[in-house]
Amino acid sequence: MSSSSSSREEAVLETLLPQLEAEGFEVFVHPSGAMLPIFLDTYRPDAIALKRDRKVAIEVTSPTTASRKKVEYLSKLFSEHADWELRIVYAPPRTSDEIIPVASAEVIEEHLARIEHAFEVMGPASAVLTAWAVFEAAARSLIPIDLERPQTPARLLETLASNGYVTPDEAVMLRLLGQIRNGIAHGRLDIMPTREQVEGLIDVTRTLLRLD
Amino acid sequence: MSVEITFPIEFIVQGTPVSLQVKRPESRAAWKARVRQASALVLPEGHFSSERSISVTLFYFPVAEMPGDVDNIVKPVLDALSKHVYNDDRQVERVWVQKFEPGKVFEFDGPSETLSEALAGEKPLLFVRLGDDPSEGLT
Repeated sequence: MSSSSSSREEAVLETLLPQLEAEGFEVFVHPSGAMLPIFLDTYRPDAIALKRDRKVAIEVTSPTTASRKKVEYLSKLFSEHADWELRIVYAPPRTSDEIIPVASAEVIEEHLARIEHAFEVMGPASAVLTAWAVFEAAARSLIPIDLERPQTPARLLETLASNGYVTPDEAVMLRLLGQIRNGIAHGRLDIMPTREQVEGLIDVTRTLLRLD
Repeated sequence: MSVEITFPIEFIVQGTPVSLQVKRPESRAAWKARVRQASALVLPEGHFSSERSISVTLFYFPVAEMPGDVDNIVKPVLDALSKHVYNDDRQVERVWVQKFEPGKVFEFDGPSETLSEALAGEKPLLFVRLGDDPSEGLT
């Protein structure tokens, strides 16, 4: 589970607890195996809520393939044991953007080397799109949790500049290039970066890699 | 000729404020230099550092949602102005720091000329106001 889905799960449970306790349940978040019936085997609910006549297992879920399979499995499992209830709490994230895994320094370096040698072949538009992708990957390797989802250039630079990963002057240069990159990504073919701008982006990316 | 600073003073610093804790110290140094340079535009030449009580207003206008806490803005700016506008951070009796992120609506009653310039200016930018009346705005 990613840190963001874990923190979302905790936030959801925090909102549920007062209601359950008001209903007379005693709630145990992340219960130990000793508190659970044998039929659950290795499954650990996110929480259980108990009172004299009811035993409820609580699972916080989101719209992912893994979650769907888990819910199907749990529904079948609990249907065979009437003394326990299964409560599924559906908590979709606010964004449907997939979490992007962190690229290794080697992979980032490999892509940087390609951009440096291929500007003439690829052309400035392709070069800046790829260079910005590599730049974002390098930034993600530094701040994986904050940048785990796709970033707009504006937010990416806000994060890097406020944390001092890029200097104020670099931020100015990158902000302009980010606008060019955005324009090209959305079909503006009348604006192109210069070779110096793309090289500047590569230089900053290399600086980020050295900070890792 | 050396002169006293006449408060309040207001100025704009272009760019994203750098937090106190950074991995590249040159980023923090560059940001502090920007703050001092921006303040120099509204300070009299050869001014003394003031010994008066100081109130600070920091309005940050980002171009995207701020990833960090708004209070992270404060210390580097106060450090940059120390021994420049005032002698010591301890003279600062009040700091008002606020962010104005995209997508939210705010009303400003009678903004000053510099604040109006900040509202209309290219973001990101930090609006800074330094006063010598810590009770300013309390009543």
